[in-house]
Amino acid sequence: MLGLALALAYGGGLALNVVHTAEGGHERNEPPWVLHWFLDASLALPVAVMAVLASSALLRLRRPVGADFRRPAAAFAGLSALTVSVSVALSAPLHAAAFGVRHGGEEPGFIAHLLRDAALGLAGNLPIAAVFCSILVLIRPRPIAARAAPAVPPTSRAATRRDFLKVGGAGMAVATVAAGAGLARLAEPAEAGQVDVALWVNQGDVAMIDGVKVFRWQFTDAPGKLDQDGRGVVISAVAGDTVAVAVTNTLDEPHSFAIDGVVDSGPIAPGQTARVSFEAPAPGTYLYRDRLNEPANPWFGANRLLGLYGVLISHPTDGKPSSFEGRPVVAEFVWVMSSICPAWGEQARANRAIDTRTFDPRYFTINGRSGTRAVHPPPLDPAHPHLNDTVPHGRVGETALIRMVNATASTHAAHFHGNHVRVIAVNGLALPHGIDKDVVLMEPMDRKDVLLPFEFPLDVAAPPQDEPWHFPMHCHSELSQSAGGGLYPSGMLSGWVIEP
Amino acid sequence: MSPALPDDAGYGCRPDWPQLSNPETHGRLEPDVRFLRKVFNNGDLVMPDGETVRFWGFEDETSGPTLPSPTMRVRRGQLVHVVLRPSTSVHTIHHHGIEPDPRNDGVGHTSFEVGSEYTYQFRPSRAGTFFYHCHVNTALHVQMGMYGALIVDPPEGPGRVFEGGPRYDVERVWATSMVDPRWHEMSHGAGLCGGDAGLNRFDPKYFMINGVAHPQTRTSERVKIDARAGQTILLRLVNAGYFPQRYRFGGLPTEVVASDGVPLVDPFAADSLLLAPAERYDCLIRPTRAGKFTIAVEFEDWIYRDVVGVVETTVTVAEGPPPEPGTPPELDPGPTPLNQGDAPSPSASSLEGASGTEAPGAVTGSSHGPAHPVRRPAKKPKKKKPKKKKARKKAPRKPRRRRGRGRR
Repeated sequence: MLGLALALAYGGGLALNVVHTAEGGHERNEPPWVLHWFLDASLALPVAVMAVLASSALLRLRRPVGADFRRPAAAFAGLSALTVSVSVALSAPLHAAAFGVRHGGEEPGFIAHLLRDAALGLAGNLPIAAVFCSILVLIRPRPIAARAAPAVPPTSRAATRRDFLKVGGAGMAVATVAAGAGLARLAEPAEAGQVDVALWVNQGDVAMIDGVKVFRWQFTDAPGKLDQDGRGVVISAVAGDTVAVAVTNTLDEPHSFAIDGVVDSGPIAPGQTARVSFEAPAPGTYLYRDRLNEPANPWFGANRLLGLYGVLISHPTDGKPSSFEGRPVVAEFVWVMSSICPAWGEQARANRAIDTRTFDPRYFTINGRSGTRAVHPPPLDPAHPHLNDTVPHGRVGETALIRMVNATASTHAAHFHGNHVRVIAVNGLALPHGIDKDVVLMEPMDRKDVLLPFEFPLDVAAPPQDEPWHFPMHCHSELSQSAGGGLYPSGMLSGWVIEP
Repeated sequence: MSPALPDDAGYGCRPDWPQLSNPETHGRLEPDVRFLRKVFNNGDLVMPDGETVRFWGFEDETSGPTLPSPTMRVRRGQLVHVVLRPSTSVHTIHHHGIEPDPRNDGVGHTSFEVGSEYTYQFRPSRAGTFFYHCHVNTALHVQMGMYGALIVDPPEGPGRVFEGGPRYDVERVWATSMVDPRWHEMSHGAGLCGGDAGLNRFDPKYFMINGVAHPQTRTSERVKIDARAGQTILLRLVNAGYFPQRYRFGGLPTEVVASDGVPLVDPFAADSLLLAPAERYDCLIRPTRAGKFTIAVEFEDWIYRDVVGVVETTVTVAEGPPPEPGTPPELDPGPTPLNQGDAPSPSASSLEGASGTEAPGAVTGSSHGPAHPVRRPAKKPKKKKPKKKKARKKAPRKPRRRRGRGRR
C-alpha cells in the first residue's frame, strides 16, 4: 500500500512537474527540476498515503467476498490514482501560496486549473496504478476469497442488474459482483429491466454416479443440449422486471412452462415455441415446471419428476442482501433437490403413460449430483478449486444464503452439521425473525431460503485447529441416503467448509 | 461426465477417511460431566405381537441394554466428555444439533470412525432438546437402536426449557421411531458399499415411543402422562424415525416454544405438528380441565404421505391443587430395558492388526463379535495413505496465504 502511495506521489508529481515546467512556471529560489520534483513529490507523499488509505478503506467496506482478486486490485489501483490526483491537485494552491509560484503563460481559472491539474495527475497516475495493479495480481494470483461462495448479492440495484440479466446452467457464478469493477456500473440507470430467456425442452440419457444412464427430460438453454451435471437453468430477475420466456418443445409430446400463481404457458405442441411474458414476482425463490401429467396433488407431477423443472429467483428491488446478526450475506447458492426414477425414465422413453402412484426413485441429487459428487462438486474455475456452485466455503462471519428448492416427490430433512441455519423465507413468505434450525423440513415443491451464518461452531471446547473444517449437510430422511439400496452413493448430500 | 463408474463412487465402501482404534482427543480438558457409551448388539425386545426383535445400542456402566440408549442430561456451559467404546466394530457418536469441531462431530468422512475408544469433547452453548446417534452406516445403525436423547438444561438445572424460559412440572422425552424387522436381520456394514442391500425399502411394522410399541404406549408408565390441571407438561419431541411424523394433541392446549435446541422467537399454539426426521420440538401443554386425552402420532410415508402407522398414548388430567412453587419437576422416566439375548457369532476379523500404524491398541471388551467385520482390506489403506498425507500437507498452506492477504 505504501509502495503504491510512493509510486503515485513521485510518478504523478513527475507528470505535474514536467507540465508546469514546460509551461514555464516558476517558484522563488527554484531548485533544479529533478530535485524540485523529488521535493514536491515528498511533500505530496503524506497526502498520497492518506488518499491511498482512504481508497483502501472505502473498498474494504464494500469488498465482496467470492470475487476475483483482479477486479478489486484494479479498483483499488484506479481509485487510489484518482484520490491521489485529486488530493494533490487540491493541495496545489496551498503549495503555490507557500512557495510563491508564478505560473508560466496564461494562468487558467482557479477551478479549471484545479481540474486540469487533477486530470494531469490522473493521466500520470493511472498507468502507474495499472502497472502496480498488475504486479499485485501477479504476486497474489489467488482470489481474495476463492474459498468463499461464488455469488454475491446486490450491493446496489444498478451494480448488479447486468449480472442478474444473465441466465445459465453455471448458476450463481454469473452473479458475482466485484465492488471495484462495479464502479462504472453504478452510473447505469436503475430502470425496470427486461429479462429474456430461451428454453428448450430436450431429452436424453443422464449418467448417474454408478454409471447407470437414466432417460430424462430437461429444460436447457440450447437446442439439443442436456445437462449431465448441474441444476438446470436458473432464471434471475429483479422483482418487477419483465421476464420474457420462449420455450421450444423439441419433443414428440406436449409440454408446458408454469410457475404457480405467476405464469402458465399451457400445452406447447411438439415442435412449437411458446412465448410467455410475466412480471418477476415478489422477491423470493420460485420453482418453474412442466405442469402436464400432473395429478390433483402437484407433488406427483410426472413431467416435473422426469426432469422438467428449474428455479426462478426474484431479487429485491432495493438490492440489499439479507443479513445475519448484522452481517450481510456475501455469497448465494441455489440447491435444487431432485429425485430420479430410472423406471419412469424408461416409460417416458417408450412414450408410455405413467402411473403417478409408482414413483420409485433410486437417486437423490442436489444440483444434479449425489454422493461424493455432491460433496465434492467440480470447481467452476480450475484456478479456484473452492469455487463451486453448491458447497459454500468461507471464513468465520461470511454468511451465505442458500435457496433450497425441493423438486422431488419426497419429504426431506436437510440437516446441517456445524451451524444451525436461519430459515428466513418459506415458499415466498418472509419470516420476520427467522427460525434457527439444524433440520429443515422440505416437503415436495417447497422453497426455503436459509442463511448459513458461518459462525465459529458454538460448542467447540478446545482451541481450533489451523485447517479448514468440513461439515456435512445431509438429508435425515435416511432412505434418501440409502437410495439404491446402499448408503450414500446415490444419496442426497452436500456440505460446507469453514476456515476457523 | 464419464458414464463409467467413477473412482470415488463407492462413497462409504472404500472410505478415504480413517478408522482409528484409539484416536486422541485434541485439546483435552477436565470434564464437568462424563458419560460412558459402550456398544451392545444383543438387545432383544418382545413386540406386542410376540415377535422378538434384535436391537443394538449404547449402554453405560449400569444401564444395561435399553431402547433408546440412555439419556444424557447436561447443563448449558458444562464441559462434556462422552467416552465411546465400540469394542468390536467401528461406530461413532454424532451429538445431533451440538456444534463441535469435526473431530468431535462423529462423522466418518469428515474425521474418523472409532474402533476401541474415543472421548468426544464439547461444551453445549444452547439449552434444549438434542439427541445422539451413531453416524456409521447411519440408516441401518439408527434403525437398530443406536440413538438416545441428549437434554441440555439451563445452568441452574431442570425446571425450565431454557434460561428465562417457561417452567414445567412434568417432563416427557418422546423419541418416536418405527421398526422394520427385516432390517434387524442385517449385518453391520450392509449396503455400505453402495450395493443394493435393500436399504431403500422400509416397511415399518411397529411404531414406538421410547422403545414401547403401540398399543402398549397407551398404558406404559414410561410414556403415558398423569398430571393435574394447572400443571405444565413439557413434551420434548424427537423424530427418531425416517418418515415425517404428525402429532395430534387431542384437544390439549399446546404451545410450541422451541425447536432444534433454540427457543422460538414467535412461540405458537398448535393442534397438530409435523416433524421431519431428526427434528425436535419442545411443546408445553397446560391442561385446564380434568379428563382423559389421547395424543396420537401419525407416521406418514416419506413419498406418498399415506399414514402407515399410528402411536397413541394417554394424558390423564386430574383435578388438584396447583403445583407448589419450588417443587422439582417430574422428569422423564427414561428408556425401555431390553433383554440380553445371545451374542451374535464372533466375526472373522477385527480392527486388531488390520493396520500396523493406525491400530496400536488391541481390541478388548466383550465377546460379542461385531455383526459385520470391520472392513479393512489389506491393500487399500496402504494405497490410500500417501494420498491422505498429500491432502493434509496442502491444507495448512492455504490459511497462510490467506492470512498474508488479509493483512494487506
